[in-house]
Amino acid sequence: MTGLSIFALIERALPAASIIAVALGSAGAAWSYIHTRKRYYEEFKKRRHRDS
Amino acid sequence: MIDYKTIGMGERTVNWLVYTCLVGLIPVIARLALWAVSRSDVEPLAISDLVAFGLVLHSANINEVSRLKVADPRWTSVQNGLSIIFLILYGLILFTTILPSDKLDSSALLKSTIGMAVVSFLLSLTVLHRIWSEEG
Repeated sequence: MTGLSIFALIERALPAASIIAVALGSAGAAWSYIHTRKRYYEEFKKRRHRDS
Repeated sequence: MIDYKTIGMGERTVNWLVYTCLVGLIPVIARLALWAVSRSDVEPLAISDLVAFGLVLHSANINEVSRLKVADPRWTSVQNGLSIIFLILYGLILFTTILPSDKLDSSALLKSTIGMAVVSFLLSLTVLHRIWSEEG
């Protein structure tokens, strides 16, 4: 009986959890991309400063 | 001979595309091919195939993130955290497909799984983007 109620809980929570995961994942992907670009740009600036 | 460096693709990127992405998509491609040629009631997309694709992508993400030589701890934590959340959710979705229920709207679940698979692919691309940036 406990197994069935856990399953019912999962069933109820899954649609909302999927939507939250998609939103979190999209935000995470956007942040990761911006973070990498920013870091790469700073490295590029440091290298240019060293070479000049 | 294709020069991958010139076209901006390192060996790791090609390996990822072939061994991770393509292998993860084998169930999806096989089902699509069967749906195209078969006369029986085969669905073009199934939740379990997309879950398999997502599981392969995220396990590869965790592996690639751990292999990065110059890793920013914050970025690593975000990537690993998101991969773990997605892996747990994919497992739960697979659980519901094994024990189907009338209360669950299967077409809505398929749409949300498609959304999750697309986001998983985008997250993998951001990991690759970091690898491209680090490897020059």
